Amino acid sequence: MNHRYFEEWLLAEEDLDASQKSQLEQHVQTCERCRELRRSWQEVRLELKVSEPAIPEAGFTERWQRRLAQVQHKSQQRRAFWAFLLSSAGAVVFAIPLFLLFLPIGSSPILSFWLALYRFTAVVEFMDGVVTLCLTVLRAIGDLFPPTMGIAIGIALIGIWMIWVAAMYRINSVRRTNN
Amino acid sequence: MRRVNDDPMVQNMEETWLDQALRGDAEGFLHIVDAYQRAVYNLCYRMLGNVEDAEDAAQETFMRAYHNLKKYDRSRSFATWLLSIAAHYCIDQIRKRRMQFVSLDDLPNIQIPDGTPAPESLISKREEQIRVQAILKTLSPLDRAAVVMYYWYDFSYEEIAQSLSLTVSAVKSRLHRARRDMAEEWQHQYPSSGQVERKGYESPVF
Repeated sequence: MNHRYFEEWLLAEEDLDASQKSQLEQHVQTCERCRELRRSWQEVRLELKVSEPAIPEAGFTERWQRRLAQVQHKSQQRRAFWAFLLSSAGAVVFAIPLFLLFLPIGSSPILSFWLALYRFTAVVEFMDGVVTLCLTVLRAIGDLFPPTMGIAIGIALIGIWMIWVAAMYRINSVRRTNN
Repeated sequence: MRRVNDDPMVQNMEETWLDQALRGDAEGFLHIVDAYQRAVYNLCYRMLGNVEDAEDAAQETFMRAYHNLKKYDRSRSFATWLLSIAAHYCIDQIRKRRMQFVSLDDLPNIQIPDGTPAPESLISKREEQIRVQAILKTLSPLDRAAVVMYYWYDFSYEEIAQSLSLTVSAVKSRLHRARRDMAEEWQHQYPSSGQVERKGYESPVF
């Protein structure tokens, strides 16, 4: 019989049947290598079975809790950094056209000043036009709907604003920990 | 044979703690950490071979489990899932650092049964830890994980296969190879008296 089978039987954790046991015993009597393998495996097996589990130093859970708090703090800082970065990027994108609008390009300082003043007044006039348009639209809406509708729309807008605030709070808050 | 956690209270409360943790309450997960810290730490220590790395790996295992709790399939055993995270983390660490050593001064705490003479028992247990670590370190990381799960936690072949992302036949084959390698290493380190005598007899004398 192939020597490999005896090695498998020697190292198997499952019980062998009577015939296998008898064949294995006969083989081990004549094969020194398998005899040594059986001895060493039985000793290793005993070591593994009696070896006590390693245990961590006392206070493992408290250390984990502190580590969790640190990880959550870092994560919050990272989120705050990205929020700041995105807001700054938005502000820069908004500021660039304004900067270009007011960039004085005259040939002398006096001319540049008058040019900037002219552009500023043009922007103010444009904003005034936008405000007038908005007020006209609001007055038209006020004529169309009763005052209670206006109150309802106002409450709805406040509700949306509160939902937004709550969402922002949840995004930036961390899971509760027992610190 | 030892199970991951035999405490019936833990088995009864596990679902409640997991529900709590899934609702975002870390208090529930702290109970889980308390209940499984020994099992996770022991696996990490057997895999990595020193206490600092074992502590760090065990802490990281619970951190990963906490952040991935929503991915845990409740039809599977929680212990299997948790030890799977620990085993994979340790395997990655070994592959990264290639640290497979054991230091005599770097042994973990061990449980000493009550009523035994402490100093002798402690020395004997420490020697036992050294012998066990010395034979475990000769195995590949995957084989080592399979051996720890089989001999320390009484995992079935199916549970080991699930934990280590292997097939059942691959687990059987790895365990067989690991037993042979450990036995051969043992022969090398602790030869039988017959072998020692014969070697002495056969050595040339001038």
